[in-house]
Amino acid sequence: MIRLKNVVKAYPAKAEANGGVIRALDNISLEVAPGEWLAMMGPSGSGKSTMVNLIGCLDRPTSGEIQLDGENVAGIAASELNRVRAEKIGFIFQQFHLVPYLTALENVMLAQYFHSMTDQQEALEALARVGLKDRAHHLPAQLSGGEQQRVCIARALINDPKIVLADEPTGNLDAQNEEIVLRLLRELHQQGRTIVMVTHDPVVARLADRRIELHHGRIAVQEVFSMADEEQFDEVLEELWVLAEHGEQAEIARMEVHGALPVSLAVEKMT
Amino acid sequence: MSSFPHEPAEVVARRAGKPHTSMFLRMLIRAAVLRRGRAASALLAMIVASAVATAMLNLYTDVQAKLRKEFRNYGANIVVIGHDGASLPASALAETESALGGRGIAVRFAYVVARTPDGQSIVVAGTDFDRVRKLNSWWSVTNWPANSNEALVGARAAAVVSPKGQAFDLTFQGHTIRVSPAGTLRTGAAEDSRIYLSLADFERWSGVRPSTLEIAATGSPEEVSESLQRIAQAIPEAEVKPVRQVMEAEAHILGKTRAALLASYSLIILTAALCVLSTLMGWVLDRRRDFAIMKALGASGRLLNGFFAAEAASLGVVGAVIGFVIGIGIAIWIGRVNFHAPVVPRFGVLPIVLLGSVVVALLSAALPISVLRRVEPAMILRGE
Repeated sequence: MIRLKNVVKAYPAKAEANGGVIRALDNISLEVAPGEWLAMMGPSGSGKSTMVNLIGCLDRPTSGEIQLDGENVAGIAASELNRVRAEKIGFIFQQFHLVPYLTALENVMLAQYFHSMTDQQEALEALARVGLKDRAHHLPAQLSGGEQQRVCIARALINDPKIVLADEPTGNLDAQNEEIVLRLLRELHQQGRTIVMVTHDPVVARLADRRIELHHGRIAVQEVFSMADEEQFDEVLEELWVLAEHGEQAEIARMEVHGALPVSLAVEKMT
Repeated sequence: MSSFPHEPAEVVARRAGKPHTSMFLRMLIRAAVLRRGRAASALLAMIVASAVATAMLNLYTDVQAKLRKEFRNYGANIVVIGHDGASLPASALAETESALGGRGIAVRFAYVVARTPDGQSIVVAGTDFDRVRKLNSWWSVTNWPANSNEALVGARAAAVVSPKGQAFDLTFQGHTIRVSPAGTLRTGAAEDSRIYLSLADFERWSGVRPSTLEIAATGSPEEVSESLQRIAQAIPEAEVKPVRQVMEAEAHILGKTRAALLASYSLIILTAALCVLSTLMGWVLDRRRDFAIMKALGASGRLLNGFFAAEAASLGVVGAVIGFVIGIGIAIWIGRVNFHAPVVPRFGVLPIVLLGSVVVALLSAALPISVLRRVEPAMILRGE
C-alpha cells in the first residue's frame, strides 16, 4: 500500500550560509502492507512528522520514490497531489485542526466537498459512528478535546480513504477519550484500512502491528508485535488463572497495570 | 464509513443521487457570521473607503455646477450693446431669452447723462429692478424701489443729489423728473456714482430706449460661448461681447479647483485603499491555518483562491453599498454647509464605487493569497 524507496528530505540549514542542508529523512526505505497498522516513534526532530507529511502528500521528497496504492506521488503535479490527498488519505491530527467557524457536521462535509460532493446524511451517519450525532451542530469551541478528535476521525474517514495518517492522535486527550479514540482506530484497522500512526507512547504503539523508531532521519529500530502480543496473551491468561485459584472474579478494572495497554483493548486485540 | 475502503469512483456514485449542500456559500456565510470581529474590521475599512470615494466623487461632479452658479451671482458674463451706442431693437430681449433657452437671465439697461438742479452731470440708468436683483444679487442695496418715480441712488451720487434722503430733480434735454430715493446702492464700482430708475419712468422721462443688455448665461464655458453665438446671430444689429475678465477668471478658478480636488480626492482614496489593503492582508493571513487544513483535506489551489477571492469580493460589494449610502449623506451635508444647497445624489457614481471597492478588495486579497500559496500547509499545521 505504501512504499518508500531511498527517500531523502533535506532542508537548507539556516546556520550554514554556504549551501548547508539538514537531512530530515536520510535515505529511508519502508513498505507498509495493505491493512497494516504501523506505529512510528522516535524523539522530537527525528523525522516522524516529515515522513507523515511526505506520505500524506503535504510535502515532496528531495529525492527518492513514494508509492501510494501503486501510484508514484514523488514527482506528480501539485493539482494531482490534491486529488491523491482527497481520495486516498485521511488525516487525524494531534491538534484536531477543525475549521473553527464550521460546525462538526460542516467540518465533515468539508472533506466530502473537496473530494467530490456533499451528502449531509452520510456525514451525520459518520458522526453517529463516532458517538457524536447529538453534537453535530456544535462548533469546535463547544466540543471537548476528545469530541473534537472524534470529529477529526469522522472527517478523515468520510471519503473511505485507504490510508489513515494519525499524527499523535491521543497526544492531547485524557485517559477516557484516549481509549475511545484508540478503539475507533482499532475498528478502522479491522475494516482493512492501512494506518500510519505517529506516537510517543509505547503503550499506544503496541496496538499496531509493527513499530518503527526513527533517529536522525533513519529507521533505527523495527519491531513486529505479534511476539509481544503472544506474551501479553500469556500474561493475561496467567493472571486469570491466579485469580481463579484464589476464588476471585476476574474484573478488567482490577487487572489494569500502569504503563500497559488497557486490558479491554488488549483482550480485544487478542480476539 | 464502510466495512472496507471503497474506490473514489464508488464514493462519488454513492453520493450522486443525494441532495447536495452549497458548501462554498455555507463557508462564506459562516466565515462572515462567526468571524464577525475580523470581518467587521475589514468591512469597516471598506465602508470608510467607499463612503469617502462616494462623497468625493459626488462633490467633484457637483462642485463645478455649484461654483458656476456661485459665479453667476457675481453678475453678467455677456454684454449686448447697440452699435455706436444706438438703441437695441424692441425685440432684443425676447430674442436673447429665446437664444438662452432658459439657461440664464438678461436685463435691459438704458443710459443718459442728466443734470442735477445745481448743474452737475450725473449718469442715470433705466432698468428692470426685478431682474437686476437676480442678475446682481451681490449688490448691497438698503431698499429696492417699488413705486413709480422712486430711484435707487448710488452711495456717491446720493451724497451729491440727496444727502438727507430728500426728493430731487433730474433734467435731460429739457425734460425734468422729480424722484424720491428709495434706497442706496453700494458696489464699490461705477454703480455707486449712478442713479437707477425703473425702465418705464426712464423711457417716459428721457424718451431713450435701452441700448445695453447684460446677460448672465449659465453652463460650462463652452455652453456660454454657444449661447453667445446664438445671441449674436439673433441680434445682428448689436455687438455681443463676453465679459472676458469674468469668464477667464471663472475658467481659471474652475480649472484650479478641479485639479486641487482631483489631487486631494486621489490622495484620500489612495489612503483609504491602503487602509483596506492592510486590514484585508491581516484578515487573510489570519486564516493561514484554515488554508492549511483545507489544503490537507484535498482542496485545490484554484478552489481556495476562489474562496478567499469571493470572501474579499463580497466584502467589497457590501462595503461599497453601505459606504455609498453614507457617502451620499456626507456629500449632501458638505454641499449644504458650503453651498447652502444640497448636492444632488449621483447614482451614476455607484457602479464606479462598486467596481473600485471590488478591485481594491481583490487586489488586497491577492497579495496575501499569493503568500499563502507559497507556504507549505505542513509547516502551518505544525504551528510554524
